[in-house]
Amino acid sequence: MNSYFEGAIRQHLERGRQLLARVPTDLPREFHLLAQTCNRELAHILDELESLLSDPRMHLPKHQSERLRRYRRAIRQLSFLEAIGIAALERANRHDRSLNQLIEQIVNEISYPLLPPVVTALSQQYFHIYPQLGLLSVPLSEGDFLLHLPDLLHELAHPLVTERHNPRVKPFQNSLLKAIGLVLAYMAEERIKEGRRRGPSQIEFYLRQWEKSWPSWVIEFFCDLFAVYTLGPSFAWAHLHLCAKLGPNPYQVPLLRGSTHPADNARMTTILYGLENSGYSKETRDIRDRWQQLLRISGTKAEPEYRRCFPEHILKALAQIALKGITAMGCRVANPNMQDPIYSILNQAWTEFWHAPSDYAIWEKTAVKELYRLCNSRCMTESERDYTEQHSKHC
Amino acid sequence: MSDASLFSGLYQQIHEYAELLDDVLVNLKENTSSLEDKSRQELASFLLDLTNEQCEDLPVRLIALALRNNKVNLAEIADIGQALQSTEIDESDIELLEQLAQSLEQEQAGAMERMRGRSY
Repeated sequence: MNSYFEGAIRQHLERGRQLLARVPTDLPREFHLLAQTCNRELAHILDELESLLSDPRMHLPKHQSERLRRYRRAIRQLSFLEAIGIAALERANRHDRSLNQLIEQIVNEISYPLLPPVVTALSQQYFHIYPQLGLLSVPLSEGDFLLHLPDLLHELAHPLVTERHNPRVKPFQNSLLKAIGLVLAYMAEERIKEGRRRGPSQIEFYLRQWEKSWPSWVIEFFCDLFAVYTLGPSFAWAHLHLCAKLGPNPYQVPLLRGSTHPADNARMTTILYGLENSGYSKETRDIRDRWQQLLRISGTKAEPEYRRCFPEHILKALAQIALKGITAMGCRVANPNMQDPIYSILNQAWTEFWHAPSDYAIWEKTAVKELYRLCNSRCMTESERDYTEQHSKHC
Repeated sequence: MSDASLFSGLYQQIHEYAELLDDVLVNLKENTSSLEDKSRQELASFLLDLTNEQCEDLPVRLIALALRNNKVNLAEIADIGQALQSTEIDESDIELLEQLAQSLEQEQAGAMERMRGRSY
């Protein structure tokens, strides 16, 4: 395979160099960190590919497995950077800039312990984040509306899970570890009980699928809880909104293979425990009522497997454990008397929505403008104003 | 909210250790690896952490859980971790490291697929 590697690696080296040349140099300040990350990663990939060609050991038959793995890793990373990081840089525009100013304000407002991610409106898969690039992706027009913006807070929690060195996130990670320990202990107990009962073997199989899935579910529950503790009721409403529009069976439990996201009803139950813990009793009741109405009209019911997979005492415990981690990390926890600007606008949006649903779309247009005006006035320094003015004249 | 956020984290965590493992494997096969090698020490420590249920490093615990779900024998991994901290590395240890490298490769490729949909 030496000949293959000779040709293919040289071609990918060329591709990597071309990508490096495509990183724009006149980017707005918010994109500088992403550009640096992409440059650094591309340089690392180019070094790795060079080494696969020039290191004489890599030509020996005994190292071909390592060579193939290293080659694949480099190409995967290159393709990832091209499709995600460089693409976001190439299409950075004014709209992205508003979203970035918003995320900067959110991060300040909640005392987020890490640097804010860069936001791009390039998503084809709802909201998601790439912690290794510090890049948060949202659907193209989502920034023009308010009702789903609370989901930004859920995404902000993912890098808290993957951060390896920053000690500020340690309390959150310790809480998450504790929660994983708790649920795995519960699953182990259930398996022992099932073994004693000598019940159907399929139950034992289900329990294994749930046990496999729970670590991912705990992460998702913690991201939900981070969002609801830092933003309050608007996140719970956003979850209801998403489930009403796109949700599968809210009591769905994986039976044949593991899953990445817990059942929506379990998520809402946990979110509402979190909301209650923050002192939002009335809001918790209101959201629970609406959620029950949604469940009723969706015609779905919980099966016994659901209750066994997502027992209430575990969900309640998750909400308590997460709160300790978030508080110990120094994040600002929302409360009903809070007046912080982003918190106020995003929660006000849902109040308006329920107060006058038919007028909401008109109200929202003005509110969105007000939100970005507020973020812009807080973010923009004199020098950036000059840059924008010059740039718009030039255009 | 999508799988991308979850798998992006796993991908990132595995990538670093997969690089470390291949680096050590090359040196072991070349007989140029020594106990003082930084990468060998880091790998030994990672392997022992993987099998330690009390380990407080969350990213390492998440990799361990992912590997366990894919039927990787964590007890064997602990043995290799200890072997790397001694001079007693033999062909069978290298073979086990090779298998672990393949498992990490599969985990990482799987995580990338879940992040982006199939990428080819």
